[in-house]
Amino acid sequence: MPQHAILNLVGVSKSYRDVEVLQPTDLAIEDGEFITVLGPSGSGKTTILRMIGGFTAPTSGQILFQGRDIVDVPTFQRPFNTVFQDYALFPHMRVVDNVGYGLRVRGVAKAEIARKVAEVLQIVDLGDKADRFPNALSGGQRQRVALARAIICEPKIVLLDEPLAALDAELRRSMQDFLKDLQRRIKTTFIFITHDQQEAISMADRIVVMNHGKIEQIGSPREIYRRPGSEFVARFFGENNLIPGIVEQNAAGEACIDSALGRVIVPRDASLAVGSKVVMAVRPEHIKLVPAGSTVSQSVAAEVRSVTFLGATSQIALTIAPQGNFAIRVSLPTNDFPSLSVGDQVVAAWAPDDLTILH
Amino acid sequence: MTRSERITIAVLWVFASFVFVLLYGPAVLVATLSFFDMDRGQIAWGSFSLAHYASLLENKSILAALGNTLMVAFTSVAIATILALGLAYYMRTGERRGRAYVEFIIFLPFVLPAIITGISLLVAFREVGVDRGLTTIAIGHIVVVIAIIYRMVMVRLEALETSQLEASADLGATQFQTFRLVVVPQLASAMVTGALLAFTISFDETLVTFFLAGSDPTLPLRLWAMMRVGFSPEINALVTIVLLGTMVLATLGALSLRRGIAKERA
Ligand SMILES: Nc1ncnc2c1ncn2[C@@H]1O[C@H](COP(=O)(O)OP(=O)(O)OP(=O)(O)O)[C@@H](O)[C@H]1O
Ligand SMILES: [Mg+2]
Repeated sequence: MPQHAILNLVGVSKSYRDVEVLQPTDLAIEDGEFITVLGPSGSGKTTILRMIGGFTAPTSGQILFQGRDIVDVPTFQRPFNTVFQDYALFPHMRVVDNVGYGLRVRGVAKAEIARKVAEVLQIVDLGDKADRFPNALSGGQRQRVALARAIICEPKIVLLDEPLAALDAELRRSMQDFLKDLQRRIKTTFIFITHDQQEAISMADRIVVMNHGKIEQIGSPREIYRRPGSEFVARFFGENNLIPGIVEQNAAGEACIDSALGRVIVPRDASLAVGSKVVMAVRPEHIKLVPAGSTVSQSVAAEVRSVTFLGATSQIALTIAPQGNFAIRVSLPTNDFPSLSVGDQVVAAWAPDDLTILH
Repeated sequence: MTRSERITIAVLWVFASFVFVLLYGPAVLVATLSFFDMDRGQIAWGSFSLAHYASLLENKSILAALGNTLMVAFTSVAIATILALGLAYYMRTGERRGRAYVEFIIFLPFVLPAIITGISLLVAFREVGVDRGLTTIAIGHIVVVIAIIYRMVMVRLEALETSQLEASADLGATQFQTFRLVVVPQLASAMVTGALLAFTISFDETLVTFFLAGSDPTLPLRLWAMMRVGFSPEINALVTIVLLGTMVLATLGALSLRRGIAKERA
């Protein structure tokens, strides 16, 4: 458990009646980091966030804020603020009153509230909309009001539950930049839920990948992309070719995996027991095509089955020659192979380092 | 416009006028009579005066009955509104067991024949040993009107997203602050509408009241009693005043309802 963790979940679980929607989970969140929680629908993302916010009580476990268990601290006393998916703005209050609400219920003086609201509205670029009611704002503007309302009390952690889900693609991208920038500026921990992996990659310092009420992997976007920790992560996070195989040992005593790609030599890894079944993952963009007949150590002969033009890159489906029916996908810069066509014989090659072995 | 269309429209007009006269004719007649005297079954047009209004002011028993009615209506509506609001908020802010049963019990008097409600309350009061009077009437009216206010408030509360309550708590508000700053302002128009409706129900409630009244009658009971001996002309003045009051209330109710709807739409 790192010293600088601001929030620690220790064995936190949640069950509704007999259904465990979150298995006992440990998670350390560091001060000032932008962490995204990524996972398919129903994986328990909102459940985790609601327990941190105090809207739902965990069935077991501790939630430590700066080392102190806050499970019994009611929502209104927790130094966190939430941006809700539906924004949850108060429709009977103008923008200024919505944003100033947190200060008002704390009994801050009117003049001070007015000053801070003006300051925060400036940050979210809504200074001219202060006197509007929420229903007279666009979706993106409402979103920024919700954000302003959440940061005005200078929370130690900002919780965001898919705040961008309702916005169109372009607005979404600009809000992503805005949020990331804001987070850097106010140096506050953000816990951001999304089920969009592109969003997670572009925003997060660290990503928590969840599935079926369980954390599958925690790591930087780069780590998770390069080294998916499970078959689920490899599938969910970007595209991957998944190739099943069996661990063997060759004559030289090296570990290798017998698979559709032939015998693939892999770095020695103590956890690879001879005879065990594994899955290898390799990204489409990490497979290179080399001319037929070239001899590269890690390669396999293949036939082009289809070529799909996607703009800067092309997606190529290959069938592996000896097996005939095992397909892999390759992503290549379109300009590198202008004349590739269906039926061409090629050799697909990869660097050993680009292979990830999943158990 | 074809000939047959013209005839249809003419017939519809006649029909509409007939309905209109049937509905409002008596009211207009009463209002007119409140300013004139009758002379051998004819309105004496030369006799315009406010004399009936003056004698109404003299008629202590009717004024007392009107006073009783207003007092009962105000107290029962006020108490029913507070009860309905508290109950609805409690039911809304969590998974409450038995909510369906409680609501059933609240709505029961609203659909039950008033005579049953009246008799049951009468028996209950007698068993407990409470003397009949304005208090028992007010309690009876609370039982009768609470459903309508509860319903009005609940419909609005259900439309209020849970996330708003959560957002309020999240921003540091206590339960009470949330109630005062987020819930009540958004319920105001529903409460006003419900209270106005309840007020009109309480105002002319007769059957339940009949069983619960002691020696102080309400206005409907007083009028009922007068029917046997015949009305004096100041009743026309009274009816006219009540009519005006009702129209003002109905207009207020409609306005508040419309404001509520407009807000929801926006
Ligand atoms: N109040 C509840 N009662 C019973 N089950 C619940 C309740 N709330 C959530 N669940 C269940 O818990 C599981 C996790 O829900 P959660 O809302 O955390 O998912 P999520 O990852 O946020 O999904 P999404 O991306 O769809 O928002 C779901 O299977 C859901 O049905
Ligand atoms: Mg969710």
